[in-house]
Amino acid sequence: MAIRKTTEVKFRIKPVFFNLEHEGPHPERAQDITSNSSYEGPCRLGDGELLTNDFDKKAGAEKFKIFKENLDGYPDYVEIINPVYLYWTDGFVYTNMYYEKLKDDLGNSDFLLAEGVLHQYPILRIAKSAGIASGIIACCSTDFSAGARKHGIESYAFVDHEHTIKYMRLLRAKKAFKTMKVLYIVQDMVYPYGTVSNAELTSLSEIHGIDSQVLNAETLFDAVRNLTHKQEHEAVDKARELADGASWNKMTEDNIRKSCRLYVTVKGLLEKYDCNAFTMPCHEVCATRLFNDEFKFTPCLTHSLLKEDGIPSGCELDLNCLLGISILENLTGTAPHMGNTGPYFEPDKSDMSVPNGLPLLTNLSKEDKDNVFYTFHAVQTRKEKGLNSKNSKYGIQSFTVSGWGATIRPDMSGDIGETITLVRFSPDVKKMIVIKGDIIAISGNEDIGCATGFYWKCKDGRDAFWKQQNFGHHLAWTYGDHVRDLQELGDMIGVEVITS
Amino acid sequence: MKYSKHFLEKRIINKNAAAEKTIRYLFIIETYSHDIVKNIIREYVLCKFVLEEEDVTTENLLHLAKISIRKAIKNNELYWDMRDCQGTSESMTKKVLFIKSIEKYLNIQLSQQEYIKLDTLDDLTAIVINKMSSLVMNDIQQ
Repeated sequence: MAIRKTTEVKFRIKPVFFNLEHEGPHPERAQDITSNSSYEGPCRLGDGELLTNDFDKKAGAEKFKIFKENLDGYPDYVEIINPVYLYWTDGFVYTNMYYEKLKDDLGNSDFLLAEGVLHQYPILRIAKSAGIASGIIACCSTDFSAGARKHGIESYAFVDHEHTIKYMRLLRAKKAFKTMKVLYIVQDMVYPYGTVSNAELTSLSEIHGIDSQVLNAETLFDAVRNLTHKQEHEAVDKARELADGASWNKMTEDNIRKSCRLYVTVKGLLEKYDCNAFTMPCHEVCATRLFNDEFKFTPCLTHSLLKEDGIPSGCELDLNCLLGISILENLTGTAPHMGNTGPYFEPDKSDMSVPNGLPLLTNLSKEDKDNVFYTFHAVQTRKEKGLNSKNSKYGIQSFTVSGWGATIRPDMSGDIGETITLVRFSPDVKKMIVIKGDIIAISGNEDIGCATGFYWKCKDGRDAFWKQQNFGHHLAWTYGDHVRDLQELGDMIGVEVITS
Repeated sequence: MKYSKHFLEKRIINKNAAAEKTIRYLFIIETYSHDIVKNIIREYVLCKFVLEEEDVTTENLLHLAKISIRKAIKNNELYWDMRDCQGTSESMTKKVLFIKSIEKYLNIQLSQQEYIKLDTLDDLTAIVINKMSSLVMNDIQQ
């Protein structure tokens, strides 16, 4: 069974064009019981043929054709389920027949998407019967969204198809987020000692419906010791690919291969346990000495390569950051980085050192200094600018002085000034912090260890740090300004978005 | 060049008269071959949409309706093919009314399912031939 990657999740929509076909005055209301559809009114003006039932039918057919043509332009991650044409008449009688016609398809869909004429009411009734998220395009869409939300139906208003497509991306990301199942490795503890802001596994499940599979580290390591020939070959091939593609490399191919053995093992376990996200402890496992004495790997390369595969993977059992990685990966289609994040500034700092041995930044103005942060961890990827993009230029450096523990070091020299967005979930996973910044300097790109990353500047460092105190130290980030999208996606997911 | 309202009205009346004359050929041709019927319908479209030969850059009926509207409003970028409160655009209205005029003149009726397949002059030709042939058969049987 292949890994059910969240990045490959399709968003299934059932499109309905719901028309109004005037038939004539209601027999019980009309003075003249002769069927006569020709009358003007609030939404139908004209004379002659324009006021006939046949005109409504043919115009409806024409609009349905255009509706279907527009759907053809939707992206591949949207699966269109059999668009249908429905109608009601100016008798305004809704019956369960409409829902019955759509029931089977709606059962296989994530979303009911409608366009039409005076269709808010029937679409609302259908959405309620199906309990399905819904949206209306064009006229009166906000009436539908407000009315449906009043009834507890997740609903949206779209201006046109281009606008709808923008939101399909967010809706798919939401679905992908909810389909996560985390492979969670433990080493004689449930929660990591190095990330006390960590969310509870039960919170992920209760609040976001995200499943997990807990596995002992010993089971993971047994799997590494018992790789199949095929897996060993895969590790060899991967190491060769990494070494051959690097523009600089400080490791032997054999040591890279050792790191790749953990990667292929984890992939096998993800398949076995039907998981599509991964995290494992760092310090706690390191302390077993197995990394140093037996395996000669760290998890860093595994996290990097899994993200490049479209599988969210995070350091140190940090679930809050893992959720952020998943959100960013699915929203932006990139393989995000994550790292220790903190402010560079300290107005009363008397010495010139910065945390963790990062190099000093000189020539910063006072104003800039207050708004500069660092982010570093050795889990960068070659796909930080797009899962489908060419690999960025990169080097390979070992995590350890001894020369093992492969880490990828992408070339960020051309990224000064690039805007980035950073994300993390709160300990109760009910909030998400989103910070926008601009890269100002790269740090430790060729250095051994974990202190490799960059400095970035935000609008108000004091505000950002004050808010970060409710979230934690690891933030996931990707290129681009995604603040607005994340605010709306946060709304969709049901988390409060705190921005800075 | 700005035309007077009178000139435009007269032009439309003349074109409508020409259209009526053209469509009647369908009752007097001996065989309903695709090419012959298509030529007649094509001429009918030009008359009803007040188009000249050089305006016809497509055989898609909806696009021809749009060309007709653009021409009528002198290619004004700011205002064309507006949608009414029911989301029906001017070009859709024009196309539907055009098809209904054919139904009326030929005494045929297109269902919604048949209408939905009508994109091009070829589609319209095929359905007119089909309907006219059925009418002839019905007349013979009666």
